[in-house]
Amino acid sequence: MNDKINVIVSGHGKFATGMQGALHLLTKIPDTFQFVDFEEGLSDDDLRKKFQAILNEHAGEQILFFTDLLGGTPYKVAAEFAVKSDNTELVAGCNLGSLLETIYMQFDSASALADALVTYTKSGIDKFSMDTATTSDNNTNDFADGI
Amino acid sequence: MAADILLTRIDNRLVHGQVGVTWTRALNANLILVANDLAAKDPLQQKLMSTTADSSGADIRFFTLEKTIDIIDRAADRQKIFIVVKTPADARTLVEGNVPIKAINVGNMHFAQGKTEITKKVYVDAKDKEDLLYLAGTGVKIYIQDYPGDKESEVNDQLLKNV
Repeated sequence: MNDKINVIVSGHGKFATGMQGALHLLTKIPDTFQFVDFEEGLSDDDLRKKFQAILNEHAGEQILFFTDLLGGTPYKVAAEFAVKSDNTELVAGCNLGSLLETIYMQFDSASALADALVTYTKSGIDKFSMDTATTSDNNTNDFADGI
Repeated sequence: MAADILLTRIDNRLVHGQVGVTWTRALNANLILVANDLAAKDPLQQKLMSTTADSSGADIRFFTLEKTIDIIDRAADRQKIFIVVKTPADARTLVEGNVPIKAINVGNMHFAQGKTEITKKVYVDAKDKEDLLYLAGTGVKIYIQDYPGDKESEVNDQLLKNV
């Protein structure tokens, strides 16, 4: 697990706690994860204070902001922090699968984690079709190189 | 060398998001072996489960129980295998067929009429109990656990006493 990189998931409405609920069904959520909803009635400044409070607890540590929408308020507020610190990275529009894939991987930095989130997001989108060949090779009886 | 089977999981959904990604990654498995007679001949199920495996970078095979027993010894040393079966009875068939299983994780066993709740995700009837206790009796490590690293509950007479 990424026990050294703090992940802050934030988005509009219940995006963050919704992601939390989904992840909870799929895995054990690391203690390094925080979920911050940007709900109706909150101002930019309210969100900024919430982020700042989390960052104060983790001064000098690696931080990754995971936001729902490129150009949205959670993204814009997080960007204010990301631009000020080499330890703080920001992604937008990444998906549940990318978070799940990376929870069990190790990264040296928030920047490396951010790159992986973007990569796994892209590989995790698909239009369903039966035509795509599967990787499975069930009918072979050639086991010279394993099963 | 005997096949390197890292873990065998009993899950009545076979490979789904949690199994395909979470367990495969946590185990560092590079081959998911679905041992299930129906899945072995169902292209749609295979397609859907392969999607999950692909995203974890693991290979996946769909073999009948019989084929699994017949060829498990042909596994290469590099293959780190994660077996997934649907029921305790199927796990028992593999163990009786000398598939070298050392540890069994009991995951989802859904509620059905006449089954007793052991945990929120594990429901057991008399037949399941017989098979689970048989497996425990062979010396295989067998336990209920939701996620890798979570609390383990060993399967034994005491745990299943209300069934």
